[in-house]
Amino acid sequence: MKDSLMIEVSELTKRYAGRTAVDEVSFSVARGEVVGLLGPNGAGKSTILRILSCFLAATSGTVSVAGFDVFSQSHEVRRRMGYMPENNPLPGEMRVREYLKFRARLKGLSASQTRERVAAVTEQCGLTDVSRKIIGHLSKGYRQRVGLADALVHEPELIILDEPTIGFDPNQIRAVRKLIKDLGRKHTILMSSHILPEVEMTCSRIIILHQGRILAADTTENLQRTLSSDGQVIAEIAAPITALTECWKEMELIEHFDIAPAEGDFHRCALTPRAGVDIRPLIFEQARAKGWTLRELTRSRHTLEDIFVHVVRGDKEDSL
Amino acid sequence: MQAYLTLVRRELGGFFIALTGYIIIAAVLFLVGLSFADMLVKLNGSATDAPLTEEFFVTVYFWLILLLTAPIMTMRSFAAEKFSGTFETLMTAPVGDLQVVLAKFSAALVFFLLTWLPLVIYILIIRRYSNDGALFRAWCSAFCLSVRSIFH
Repeated sequence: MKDSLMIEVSELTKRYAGRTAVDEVSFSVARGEVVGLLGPNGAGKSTILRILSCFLAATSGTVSVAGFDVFSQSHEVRRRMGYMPENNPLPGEMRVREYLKFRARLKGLSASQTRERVAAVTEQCGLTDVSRKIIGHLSKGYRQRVGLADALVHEPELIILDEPTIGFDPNQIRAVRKLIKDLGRKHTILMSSHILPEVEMTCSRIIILHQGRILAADTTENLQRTLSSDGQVIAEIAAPITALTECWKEMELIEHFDIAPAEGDFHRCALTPRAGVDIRPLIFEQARAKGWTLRELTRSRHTLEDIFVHVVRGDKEDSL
Repeated sequence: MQAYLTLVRRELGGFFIALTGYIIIAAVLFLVGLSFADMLVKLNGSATDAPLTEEFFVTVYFWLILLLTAPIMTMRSFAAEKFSGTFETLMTAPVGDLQVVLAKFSAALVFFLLTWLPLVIYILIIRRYSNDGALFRAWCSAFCLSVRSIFH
């Protein structure tokens, strides 16, 4: 077994009565990576995570975590993995500290280790203020942190998070993302999401799933680059329309342009360059030479949203 | 073993945290008390050849307790976990299926026996005024029956 690989999935298939949820999926995750599983609802994200966490058995294919097979050596796998299921189920009647202690003992930590680790994760997940409260009385943000603390309490090598930011307000989402990012420095993380900017922000690599198959798997930057090579540039310049039209026509590198009036003297120009050159410096030079006021100059980067729509739609067109 | 004990403690604690545990205790206490009173009335009446054990087991109270409390306690133990989703966190922790089942069984059994404890007092009272040790055997039989009913 290669030591650098944390997760190795090969030709994993899962069928539920007549429906194929995961179809011959293969991927691997190296130690220390933060990988996001991305896909619309029903793409098979949760199914894959559940198989990885030894909760479901696969129909066929092999999955190994840290070199251990999840079917035949599930005990070893479970010991090395912290899993937070979708919607983060918690016993509402227990107190935070009590629950974390219970989970730590259940995961085989000794009494002294338990004391130490529970204190550590309580601190790490910002639960110090609520450690004596009943879980059922906590807000969603705190519950999520309890779930994370539970996943972390036995110092797992791998953390699996299924939709960790579901149903949050923007502030809480930011807090959870920060927590995940911090964790990513020490642990290998595999998380799923259908919120695109989230994976974009937290993950170094993305696996896009659709109808149980992998559509694309690459680093976040690569995915963005492959789809943003035709990068349009937006420039807002205070100048008369005629002067602008003339100027853009003269520039050889610009293939196509649109000008729309903005507030005041400003005009918003959308410029499409020839052959994917970055024309931003040229535009700045032009504006300076002609004495125009330039108030915005951006290259429209594709967000994951675009990538996603592109990939999923491309797939549909292929299959038609 | 540690996981098993941890789980038993958690399950047993679960009975006492929720109101259901106390309701069950109160209901059993009430029914056992009624049963005892009923038996005393019977014993005060005409003499009977039937052993005390039989008198105890044929009453409706005994069957009510046995048939009602066992399902109330045990039906929820897995269903509630599945319903709330904690089943997933439980089964992805490094514990075996057998440990989970045994822990839930043991916790239910211990709790069930606790609800039967008042019977011991009645045994002592009857012993005080008679020399029939049959109720002790009744308690033992109740124990065996409860093992069976929780098992089912």
